[in-house]
Amino acid sequence: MSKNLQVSTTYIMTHLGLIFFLYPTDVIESTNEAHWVTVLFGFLFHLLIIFVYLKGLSYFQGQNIVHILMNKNKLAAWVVLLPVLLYLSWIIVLAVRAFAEVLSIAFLSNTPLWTLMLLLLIIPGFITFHGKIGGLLRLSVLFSFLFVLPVVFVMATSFQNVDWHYLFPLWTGHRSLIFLTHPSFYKSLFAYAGGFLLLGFLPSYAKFKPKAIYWGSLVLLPAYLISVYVPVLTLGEETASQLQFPYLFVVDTIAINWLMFDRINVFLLLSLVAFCMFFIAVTIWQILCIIRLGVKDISPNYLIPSIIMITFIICLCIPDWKTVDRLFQWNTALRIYVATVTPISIWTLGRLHAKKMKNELNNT
Amino acid sequence: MKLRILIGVIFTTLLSGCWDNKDINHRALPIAMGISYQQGDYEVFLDIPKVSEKNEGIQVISAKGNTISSAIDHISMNLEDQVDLLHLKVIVVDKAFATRGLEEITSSIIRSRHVSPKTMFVICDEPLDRFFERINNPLNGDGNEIYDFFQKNSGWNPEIAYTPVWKVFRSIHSYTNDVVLPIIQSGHSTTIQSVGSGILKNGRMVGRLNNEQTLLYNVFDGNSLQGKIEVMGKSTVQIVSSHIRNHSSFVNQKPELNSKLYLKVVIMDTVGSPSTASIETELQVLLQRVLDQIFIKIQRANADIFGIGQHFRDDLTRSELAQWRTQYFPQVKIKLDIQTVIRNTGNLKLP
Amino acid sequence: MAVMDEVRTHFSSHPDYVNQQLQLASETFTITGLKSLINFPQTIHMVRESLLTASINRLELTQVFTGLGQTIPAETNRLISDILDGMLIAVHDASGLCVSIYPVPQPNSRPISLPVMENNVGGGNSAFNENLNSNMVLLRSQLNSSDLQMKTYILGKLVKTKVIVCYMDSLIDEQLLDNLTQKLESNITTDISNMKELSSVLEFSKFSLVTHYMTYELPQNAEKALKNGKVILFQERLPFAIVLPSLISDLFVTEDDMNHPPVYTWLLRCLRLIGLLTTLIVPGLYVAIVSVNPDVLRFELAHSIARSRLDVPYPAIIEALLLLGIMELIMEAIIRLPSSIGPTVTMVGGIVLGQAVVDAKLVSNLLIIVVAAATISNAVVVGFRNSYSLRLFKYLLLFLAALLGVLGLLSGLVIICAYLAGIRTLGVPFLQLIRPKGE
Repeated sequence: MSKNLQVSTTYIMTHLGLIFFLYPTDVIESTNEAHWVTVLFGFLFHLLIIFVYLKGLSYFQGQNIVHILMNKNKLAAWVVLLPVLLYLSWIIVLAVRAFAEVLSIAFLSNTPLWTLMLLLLIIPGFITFHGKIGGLLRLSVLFSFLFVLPVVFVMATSFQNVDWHYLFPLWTGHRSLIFLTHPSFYKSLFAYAGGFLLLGFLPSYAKFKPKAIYWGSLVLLPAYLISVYVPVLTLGEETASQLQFPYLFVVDTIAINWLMFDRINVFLLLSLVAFCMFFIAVTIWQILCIIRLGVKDISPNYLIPSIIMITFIICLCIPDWKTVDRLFQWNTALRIYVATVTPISIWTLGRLHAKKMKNELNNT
Repeated sequence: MKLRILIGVIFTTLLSGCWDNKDINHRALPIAMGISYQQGDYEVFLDIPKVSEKNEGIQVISAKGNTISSAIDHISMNLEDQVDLLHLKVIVVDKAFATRGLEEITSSIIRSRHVSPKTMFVICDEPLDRFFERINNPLNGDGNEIYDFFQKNSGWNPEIAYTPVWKVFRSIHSYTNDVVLPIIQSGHSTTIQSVGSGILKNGRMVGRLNNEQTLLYNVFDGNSLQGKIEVMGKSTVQIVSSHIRNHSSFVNQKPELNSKLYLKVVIMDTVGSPSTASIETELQVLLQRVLDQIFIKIQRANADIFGIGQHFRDDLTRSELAQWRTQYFPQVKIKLDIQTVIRNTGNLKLP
Repeated sequence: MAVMDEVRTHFSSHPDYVNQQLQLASETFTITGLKSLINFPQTIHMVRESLLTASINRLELTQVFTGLGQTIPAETNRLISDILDGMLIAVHDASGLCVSIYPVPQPNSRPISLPVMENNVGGGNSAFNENLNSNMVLLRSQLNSSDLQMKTYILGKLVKTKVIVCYMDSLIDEQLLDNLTQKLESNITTDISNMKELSSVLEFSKFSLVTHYMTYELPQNAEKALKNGKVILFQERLPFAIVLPSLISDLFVTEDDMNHPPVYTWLLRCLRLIGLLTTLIVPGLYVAIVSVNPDVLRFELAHSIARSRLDVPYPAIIEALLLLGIMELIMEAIIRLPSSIGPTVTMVGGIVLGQAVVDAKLVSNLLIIVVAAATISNAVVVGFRNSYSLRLFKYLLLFLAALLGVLGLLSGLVIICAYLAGIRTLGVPFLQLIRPKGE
């Protein structure tokens, strides 16, 4: 049975949670002008790895990547899977710690940081435990129904104070490509490479067409552009590069007279927190899959609490935002490795498999 | 059974952890803050509406400190409610402070997220203690006048500049944008009166505009609907729509801006019975003269309040743009062409 | 006969036991039954008529006799259970043949009447009642189709209860039907008399906060459910149809909507959705805005809320819990009050209590509005069992909002959504729209 809609919304949701917080800072830091080139480069990179990934998966009907890799050669499988496992655990820790910090800044709360981190861990743990993958996919549709509307509303009104002159100059020759040498650009790829691995774990549960994913990514492209361009257009590049969270700041400057709320960033932040919790739940499920299928079949009743505990303790050990930033930077190398090696290995295995099948068919 | 007891215990312990929440009626919510700077010390005035059965007006509290946060802390320490700057709408600074520079206070406001970036900056022409004393008149209103004065849906007029903190922040860092701040003082028959606006370059006040010039600044900026212009000795017209087309070019290495301003007005009042054609020509002459005055002022002060540099972003490289205020702006030639159309003459006919 | 003697001793103390001899020509028949379940004069008349005709026409009496009903073996337990089922037992004294005859029954329920718990605006109003036969009559008249299948199960060891399972053969999901029949058959000896025991037969979790079945009193709702591929159970003496599985669309969709033009159908469903969100969010939003996050509101609103909370001596969460608690007590008390004093007490409770508690400065008057809004919108969803779920969920959101403000409100919503996403009834997930399909 085709679950195109559910998989597509899951894909969109895991990415939306990551876009509006740290992605604009990194892109604005990496270049001075013509930011759309940076965004487009990142987006094309993302499309490329997804294309290769899905093509490789289409050679194996209904098997997820752990099965595919394990069936070939256990050692080679772990060369690919161990970095993936490490990467997933790393981004869970980073996501929880960074989001807790952002929430503490944004909501002016007196709430201690460990409560926020616990909240960001327990609720996704509950989602994964209670719903399993079927529940996760259905939940994405329910979330999109409830929370996408506030996000779209805020994105539309954030154009209130825009000065279109900041758009120019649009193209500055070879200087436009200067971002490729700046480390912040590679840090910004976090927003692209955070969620694509999920697609490899799904085929054993849900059948879906790759076309649904491509349409979904087309929906995401405006979000990437808006999150970078609205701060640049409102504030100018010089001012925007001073801010830690440029998009959130711009949302704070919007004045809507007819609404009973003074600050509408409440809508945006709350919806993004929901999406972020969903992202963490999906990542926990992927880690669960790898451990249960690759190592030993431990019951989720023990595995999920232990993952939560370990992540929580690691997060408690990170003292400040500078460490978080440094961890993000160190993660870049691993991210590029995982983002390139995993799809390519699946694709090559797929080609070999298809060739073998064709040979067998010709022989019989 | 044991499971139920466990759940009950968990919920009761959760209830006990409501982290030092202070309810809304135990917080003081100031709507206006005044900051004055004398010899290294900041003096902060907070304008707090009183929460009571009847509208009892406002309470003005002041304190001194080395930095603004320490002064506010001092007030919060002595007040019976907790001071919360969440609803601050207006920050009043005195002229000395504005001339010295608003950069520090803007950065500290933007950094702490306690104050909303939509707060307005306002310059006051008289000493702040006298100003706050005068506006705190319980017989004459409920104390919210300073808040309503600047609200677009109550007391705001196009003769008053409107500049939130984030625009000041932008102007401090931007190469091509400067702002104007409204200047007010306590009034004779009204609580507050406006006396023009101050030109801010990189956060420092470098000049003044009077009310008429501020209106035209708002016209050029697009903020001017319902503003009224008095044409000398002939009539008063009200602007109903304004539209600008700009074209930038480089002539002989010097930047040149050709602007066309289209104004549509309706006639409010006339002295005698002038013809519509004469009103139009007079209006154009008047506007041209006032705008020329403004341009001379800002070019002398190197303050690009109209954002003219924005139009040249395509022609200049980034490093050249960084020199806009000092190098290119004094040489800008602005050719302004104003066309006014009188849309109607109201209920009475005019020759 | 020895068997008849045993039966007679078993029923000797029962006041409604009847044991009569019927004499026809040269044959003697013993007729026994319970007169509370059987209309004896008419039944005996019916039996005597057929036997007389037979003897007049010189037909073989025993053959006609066995043709009157079903021949059953002469066992005590079988005879007793048939008598308790309301059948008339006739025994031919000479040959010992026992025949169980379907009699003219005594009416044992109210006639088909208006529904008690469901109202509708434009549709039919004949409701299911406690008698299984009238329920089946209503269902068959509503759904005249050869696709409709009905299966009977008799559950219980000590007390026998009949359960009828109805479904449309071509539309039902196979996995659902298999699960259901397997669970019913494996628990066939469990006594069931109420919904809780039926739920335990079907192995629904005891801690489930959302109802796994819907109950409908109107046959058109049952028909719609059958056409959507769901299963209906009728249990004896329960005056409603039990529809399995329940889906989230059951909160918003009722068959009565379809009697209006489509635009209004859509608008009504949107209204129910708004009601659901209101009842969940509004009490928590009040507590969050007043206690934890006052910066969310505009200044004028914040100022007037602060004014309305002057002199209230305790924090907002206690205030909200107090007033919500009183509302819950009122709602529970209304069920028990007799109809003669009910309305007066409600009026006193609602108006006087509401006004007095504000004047005594125990709660702020904004909270009264909030609680009234929450209570009214609670009733907007379809199905009163669903409104119980909502009543509980709003407390979860209230507690989380008191702890963490607006963020807690969102976390509560996420938890509820996650909980709904994971519920499965008989293998069918809860979060589906119209047709239940297994995973």
